[in-house]
Order: sequence, then C-alpha cells, then structure tokens
Amino acid sequence: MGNIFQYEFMRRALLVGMLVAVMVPCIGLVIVLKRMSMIGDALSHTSLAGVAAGLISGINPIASAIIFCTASALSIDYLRRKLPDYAEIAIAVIMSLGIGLAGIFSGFVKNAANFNTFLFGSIVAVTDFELILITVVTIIVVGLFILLYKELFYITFDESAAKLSGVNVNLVNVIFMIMTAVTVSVAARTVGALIVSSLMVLPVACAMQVAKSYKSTLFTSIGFALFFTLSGLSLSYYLSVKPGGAIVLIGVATFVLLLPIKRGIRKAVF
Amino acid sequence: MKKIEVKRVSYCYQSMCVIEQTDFSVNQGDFTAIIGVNGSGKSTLMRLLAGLMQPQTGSVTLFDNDGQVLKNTAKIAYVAQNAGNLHSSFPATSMEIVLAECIGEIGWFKRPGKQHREMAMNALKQVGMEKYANTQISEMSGGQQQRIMLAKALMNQPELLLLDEPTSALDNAFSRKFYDILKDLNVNQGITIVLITHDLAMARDYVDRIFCLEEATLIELDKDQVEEELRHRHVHRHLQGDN
Repeated sequence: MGNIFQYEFMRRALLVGMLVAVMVPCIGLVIVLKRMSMIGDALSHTSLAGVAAGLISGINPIASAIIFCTASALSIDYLRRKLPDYAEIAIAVIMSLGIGLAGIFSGFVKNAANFNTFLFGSIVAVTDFELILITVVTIIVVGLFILLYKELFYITFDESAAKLSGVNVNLVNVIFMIMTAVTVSVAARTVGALIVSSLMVLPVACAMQVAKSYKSTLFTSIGFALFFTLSGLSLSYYLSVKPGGAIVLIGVATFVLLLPIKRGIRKAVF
Repeated sequence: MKKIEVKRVSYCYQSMCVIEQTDFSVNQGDFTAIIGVNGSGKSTLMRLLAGLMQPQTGSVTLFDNDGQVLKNTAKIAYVAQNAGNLHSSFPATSMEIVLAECIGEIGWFKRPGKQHREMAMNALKQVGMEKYANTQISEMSGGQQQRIMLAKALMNQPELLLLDEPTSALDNAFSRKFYDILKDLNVNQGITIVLITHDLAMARDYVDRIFCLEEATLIELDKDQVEEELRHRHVHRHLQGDN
C-alpha cells in the first residue's frame, strides 16, 4: 500500500477532515457546557431525514439536510424556551421526529447504498461541490463563532446574567442553533450521521481533562479533533476500516486514557 | 434619596401569590437584608428588582445618583442564589468569568481591551482574589467561588448590588469574611446593597435595615427587636443564627 498523500481522494479527505475538525469543536464546546450534548444526536437523525428527502426529490442531500436540521434546531430552541425546566424533552421530541421521518423517507429512496453512506459517512467520496460547500460553511461558522465569542461564553456560563448585562440572548441562541444545524449537516456527510454527535462531544470532553481555561479548552478541543480525524483517516487507509468509526474510536480511547490523569492531578492537588 | 421604589407590586404563580400589593423602598447607601421562610417569594422579589422578571401589577423603579430613572443596567449587579456552586465545574478562569461582565460596555463583535483587564483585576482585588486570576473556578472552594461571583458583580462599579443568599453554601467563618467585604463596599464605596439571607446573626451584625417577607407582604422589622418580632411572627425557628 502506497503513501496516504499519493491519492487525490485521500488528500481531499484529509483537507475536509481538518476543516470539520476545526469547526465542530467550536459548536461542541458550547453544547457540552450548556449540557445539551444530545442535541447532536437529535440533529444528526433529522439530517438523515433531510438526506433521504434530498435523494427522493433530486436536491443535493447536504443542502436538504441543512434545511431539515435548521428547522429542527429552531424548533428545539422554541420548545426549550416553552419548557425551560425540561429542556431535554425538546431534544427528545425532535430526535423522535427525525428518526420517524428518516425511517419513512428512507423507504422511498431508490439507491439505498447512497443513503447508507450518510449513516457512517463517506469522507473519501466528497465531491467538488461538497468540498466547496464544506469550506464555505467552515469559514462562516468559525467566523461567526469568533465574532460572538464573548456573547456565547457569557450565555453558556449564565444565561440570566448575560440577559441582565444587555446581551440579546434569544438572538444569539437562534444564530447559534442555525450554526449547529449547518455544522451537523456538513459533518454528517463526512464522519456519518450516527457518529457526528460523538465528534462534537469527545474532543471537548478530552480537552476538559487537561485545559485550564475556557480559551485553552477551545484550542485543545480543536487540537484533539484534528488528532482524532487525521489519525482516524490514516488508520482507515492503512487498515481498510471505515474512517468515521476509526475517528470516533480513537476519541473514545483518548478520553479513557485521559480520565485517570485528571483524577491523579486532582488527587495530588486536593 | 431613594435607590429602589417598589409600588403595589404583585406576583403570583398560578393561584398562589408570593408577593401581593407590596410597597418597599431602599435609600441610597442602605445595606438591606430580606429574610423569610423557604418558598416565601424572596428570590422572586429579587428577580423583580433585578429586572429579570416583570411584576404582574405595580411597578419597580430604580434611580441613579441624580434621582433619574436608571436605564443603564451596568449600574445594577445581581448575583443569583448559589451562583458560585452552579458554575463550579465550568472550565473558565476567574479572569475570564469577571471579564464577561464588561460585555454590555464593549458591545457586539469587540474584544475586551487592556483597560477591561485592569477593571477585572481591580474587581478581583476588592474581594481579595487577585492571586487567583488565572485559576480555574472548579479548583476553588465554595467561599472562593462566591467571592469570584461578587468580583464579577463589581466589574462595572455598580451603584446597586442585589445578592440572593450569597453565603448559603459557606460556613460561619467564610460567611463573616464575605460580610466584611460587603460592609467595606457599602461604607467605603457607597454601594447600595440588598441581600436575601437566612442568617439572622449576620444580618443583625452587618446590615442597616431588615425586612421580612411573610404572607406575600414585606414588613420592615426593628433591627434591635428583630428576634422578638420574628418570634411573634413564628418565623424565627426557620432562620439560622437564633442562638
């Protein structure tokens, strides 16, 4: 087997993987700290319904997944505000809707193999159009995250205090939910709808074991996501395994290895 | 000069009214405590004062130094109940948390500058936590976390400080240290303070005025006769510091 960089499709996969690895932890950090980790699962299931709808109607599946995910994310935000004490119900309801629609729509998809690539991702089969779409989406999502950095920090830390300090909490939450929906849709294409929420949570979970501040947690999360993605892709190339699964399993293994380190540090300090 | 004026305010949760047709005022420079049994509506009242909730009837008016109605929310600082404990696992340093409070001043899309970092450091100094500026909040004790929340509240040099049970998670020694800081802010910097507490002994030792929220109405107690009045109202046994 030759060098991983000798094939155009692998170079492209590495580039797409790096873009996703920079974008996803920005969203994942806020989601984990807001204790809404399951939102990735809910949206990725909805994205599957969007993919199926796209394949049936002839629209690009990523574009239709973005539309479905955005509608679902805004619905979660609306339900969360209506049920402030039971925010997880909002996520469960939308996840059920996503699974239900995906189940029904998938029955009408003629090319089942094409649909299945979205379950576990197909980072090595990304088209020119999808590469451009992922690049544009990454620039927009990361750019918005930088612009809204302090607003997102404050809302994540204490929504009531942020409101009292004059932050337009509802507007920032809506923008963030749209960013999340778009990120999930794009990441689902590369690592797979069933794995995207893991990629959202695992780098942040690992970073929280070692980082000392919010900013360093963000940068460390991106570092871990890059490590998981690039090592997962290399592993999948040399061992001929699915890239999505390899990326996530490396993430889980890293988290398990880091846990005792944090416990050890805490034990030594306190 | 009045700092807060509450006129005929009511707030009900479904059929239960926790505040009913209540009048209440706080003067500039007052250090005021609100006491009452659990569930009596103290936190609701505090959220109404902070502007986080709107009264169903009546009005809450806040004034600045010139007697003008206060529009600048930076002049009001509110620390929620157990604020430190609620965020104790958040991966952020004291400096990051205190700096968050300058958001209203610097506006959208801008980053805090050197002067904001100096303001944050001054706020940390006021509560004696400047050495912990780069320490993650999860590595601090409950008392230290609560002081960071107070520093955050002081970041914008507020005129009015609203604190909801700031010492409920602290032991007696830490509570006394916390009240010393509050007294210093009140006396030396003229900050008007309204706090909710269950700790009658601390309230008696430190504050100027004590109100009791009972049966949806706020009643001012005579500070020197507070225990007798509370005993008479059967509230005394529900509060700490009665020995």
